[in-house]
Amino acid sequence: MNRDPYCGSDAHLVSRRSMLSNMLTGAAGVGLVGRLIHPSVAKEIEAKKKQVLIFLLNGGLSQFESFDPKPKTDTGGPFRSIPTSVSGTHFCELMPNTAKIAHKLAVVRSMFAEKVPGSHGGARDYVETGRPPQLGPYPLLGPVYSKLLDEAGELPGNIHVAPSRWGPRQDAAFLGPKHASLVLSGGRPPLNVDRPASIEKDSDDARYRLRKIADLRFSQRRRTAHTEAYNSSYDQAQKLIRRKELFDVSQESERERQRYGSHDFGRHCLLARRMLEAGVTCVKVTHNNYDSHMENFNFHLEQLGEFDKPFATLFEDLDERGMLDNTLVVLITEFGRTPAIQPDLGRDHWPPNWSVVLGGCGIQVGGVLGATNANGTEIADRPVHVAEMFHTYMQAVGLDPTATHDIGGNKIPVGAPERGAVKELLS
Amino acid sequence: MRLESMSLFLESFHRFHPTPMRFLAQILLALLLTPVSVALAAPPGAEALHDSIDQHIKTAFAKWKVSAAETCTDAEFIRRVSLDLTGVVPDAKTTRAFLSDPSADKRVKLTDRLLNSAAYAEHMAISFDVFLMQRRPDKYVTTDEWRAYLQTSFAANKPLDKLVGEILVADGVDPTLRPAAKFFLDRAVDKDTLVRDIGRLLLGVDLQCAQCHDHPDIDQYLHRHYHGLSVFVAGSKTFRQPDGKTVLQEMVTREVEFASVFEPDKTKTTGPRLLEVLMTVPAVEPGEEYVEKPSRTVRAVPKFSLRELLATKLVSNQTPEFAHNMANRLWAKMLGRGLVHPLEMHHVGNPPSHPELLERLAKQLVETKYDVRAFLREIVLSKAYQRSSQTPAGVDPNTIPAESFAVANMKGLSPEQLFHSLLQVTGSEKMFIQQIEATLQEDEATYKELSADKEKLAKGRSDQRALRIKEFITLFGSPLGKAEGEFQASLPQVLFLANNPAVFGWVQPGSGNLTEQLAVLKDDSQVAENAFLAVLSRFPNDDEVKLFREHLALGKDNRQAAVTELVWSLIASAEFRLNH
Repeated sequence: MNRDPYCGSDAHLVSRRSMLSNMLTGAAGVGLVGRLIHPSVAKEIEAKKKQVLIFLLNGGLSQFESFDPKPKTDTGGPFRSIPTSVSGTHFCELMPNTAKIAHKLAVVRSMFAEKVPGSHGGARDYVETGRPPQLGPYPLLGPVYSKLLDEAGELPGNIHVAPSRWGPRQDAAFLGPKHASLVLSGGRPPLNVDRPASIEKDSDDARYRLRKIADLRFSQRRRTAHTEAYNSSYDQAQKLIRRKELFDVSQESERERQRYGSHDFGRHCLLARRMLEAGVTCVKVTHNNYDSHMENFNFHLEQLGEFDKPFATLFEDLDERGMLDNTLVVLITEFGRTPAIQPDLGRDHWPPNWSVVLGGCGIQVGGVLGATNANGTEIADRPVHVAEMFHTYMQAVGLDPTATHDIGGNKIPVGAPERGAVKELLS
Repeated sequence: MRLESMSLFLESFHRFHPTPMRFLAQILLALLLTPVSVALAAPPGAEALHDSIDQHIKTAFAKWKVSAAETCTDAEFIRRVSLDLTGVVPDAKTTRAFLSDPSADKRVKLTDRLLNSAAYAEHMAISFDVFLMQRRPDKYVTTDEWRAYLQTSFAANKPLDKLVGEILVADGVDPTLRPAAKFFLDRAVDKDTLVRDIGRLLLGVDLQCAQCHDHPDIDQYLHRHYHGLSVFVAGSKTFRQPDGKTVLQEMVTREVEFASVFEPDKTKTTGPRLLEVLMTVPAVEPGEEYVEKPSRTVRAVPKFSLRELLATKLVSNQTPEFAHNMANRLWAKMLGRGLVHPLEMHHVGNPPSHPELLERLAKQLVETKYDVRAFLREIVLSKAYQRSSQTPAGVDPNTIPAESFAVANMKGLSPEQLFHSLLQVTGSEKMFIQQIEATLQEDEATYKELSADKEKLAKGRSDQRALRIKEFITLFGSPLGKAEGEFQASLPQVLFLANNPAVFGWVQPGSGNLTEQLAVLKDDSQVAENAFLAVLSRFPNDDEVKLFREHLALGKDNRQAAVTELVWSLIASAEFRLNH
């Protein structure tokens, strides 16, 4: 791995961790700690609860216009590349804020998979499951984390802050509806979280109480697997309804909202921060409109112009709050875009190579893994398969990707058994 | 057809969905051609199947050191058997009549009535659609056409081997059997999907791992099984007719080559085989293979069709796996768990919980020429089916293994069962129709256009209904490709039941629905009795009546609101959500 000698090394990570724990144990009550680390967060660090933040750039982010620029080549396009906080590593000029935190990121420039389907949905599934979709369906990352990492607290384990028009989906496959993503379509609260208009505020508890009593008789001397699952979902619903403000970014200060930007994606990132702070295990934020078959450069200018700042801001906020040590951050897209620039300035789908970015949770950061050739038409060094990344996403949060799900007697490997994690990325 | 079953049929026809009129004629015809009182008795001389079932189940209790739960109550029975055979809970009137009926054979009579109802055929059509298509989206054949075909088949009690044979052989050209071609066509005639699903669904063996090599863990699932099965379907392709319809054609294929990924240089070949049985195919002179030679404009028709061979052999006695698989699946549909579990894992390493019983069930299917109605009837009449889901006092229910069938295994209501039952118990069909109308009227211009054309309006209405059912399927169903998911509860599901305006609307008083009817009753215990009968198909106990009284007293200022809360609490209970 092409590692920067000054940043992101093991030593650096260790010292950072010990600094945190010193602060927690030794300096409790000191103003600095109170400002930097919320007590509830401190508790989480102690418990080492792992969280995951996924950014999905939907449509197919161009590697040229982001993490693998090839300026002044036949494929490079009009944008310049800029130096990053890692010496020798350059990003496209469309990502100035992300470039400043490059030393906290690991960039993989050599992602690939075989027989990637042409459809966005199929390719997205491939990237998130490590399995060709024609063998599926397999559960996406969020549902897997919900099943394996979440401790079934008050909040749902897996929330997807999605663009509007993105409804609930059965993305948990054989893990079942319990683990499907709770979708916040357009950053709005979950469907049906508001009580029916006819119910007055103080009367809603009555029906839940009655429901519980109705269940008491039934639950006697019956197997508890079904009834307990059902009852606990109602408890969870009742609590969530009371905590609706969690989904309301207007509760954040004006200053915070300004920092994240006044557009949807900025609000969605701030919403993601609220939910991670509240302890949600896996939060995914999807940013749309990267499918630039025409006007690739204008599209990326606009989309990355929106993406770059809130992404870096959220990343830095997690770091400042001490949450990054236990939060895996993943930036994915379904495939890359063609080196060839089409006559109408578009780039088409390109599965032979693209880029993925990781950070946090002990990921070996501050470097680039893998490389493409001079004009980005093929992988030149260390190809990384999507299945290897799936294993890596699991292992980074302490899960064993070689374990199996037991689904009603069917044993299904968590990660594709023919691959393993990317050791270079793990500490 | 008796008048009674006719009116029952029409009633349920109106209740469930406005199937286009053309299907009505088909279904009526099928019903008229069906003898209503089918000879349902056991073959002479043999022990009745339900007795055999109980013998085998009881003998095995020793193995788990368990004893059986009591027989379920009449109330539990009518709810369970109605859900299992007709996909919907019984209405209050039927329940009340059944509970007060003193006759000793009332369970048998109820079973026969349900098995001969139109709702049975409709429910089986939904069950088999989900089982065979695994909730795949429509491609060339609509779900409406396909379900109408299945419904007609089950109404006529078409033998199951014949039904599956039709599904495997149909090429989509003949209009009467075109819907049956959905199994192939809507899988895009994709060889690997077909091989996998024919293996899993029709033979009970999941051969996916055997696609690239012998199964690593299951000695019995071999590489050659996968490819042997693939020979039957490898030649089948889609063909677009001049009229725009996509149908099946078949190229001549006699064998396929395959090599294990572990030994890529060692190529083997196989002809068509059903697991270990290799089929012989008549030799044809080169150049004489086709009735219609394939070309861009001509649909290929071979002289000897491998799909026809598959359709004949798969359901024949030469492939005992078919009978075993079907017996196991029908058993699981009724008892909540297969004798072989999981359903697609038949192999020596995963023996049935009751091997002799599975043999007996499979034999029954074969000997009765796959008479599904008679088979289900025998299951229902068994003590095993009629066991309570409650253990005897002092026994921890969680210590009784599901595979012992000593206690009834509870099942979650399927999305369709839940939808139909919710509408039924809340008495909200009328309100639902109004909701649909209101949705259609939201767009004034479109509604005006629709109103001008009766057929379009009917289509608009049935589309809206389908959309609502789809919402239930998305929330409560198992995903594509995995139709047999186990019961789970999720946050979006309960938020939907608690707060969704349309669903909560059914619980609120209006359009003469249950809540409205209950709220005008003066007698509080009558409110409780009617509510429990309608929603949970049973009478309330004293504590429950008391609870109702107390709540109604508290809410005396707004009786409708108090009744709404009570009705909702029953609908949201685990007792309603589960088939127990």
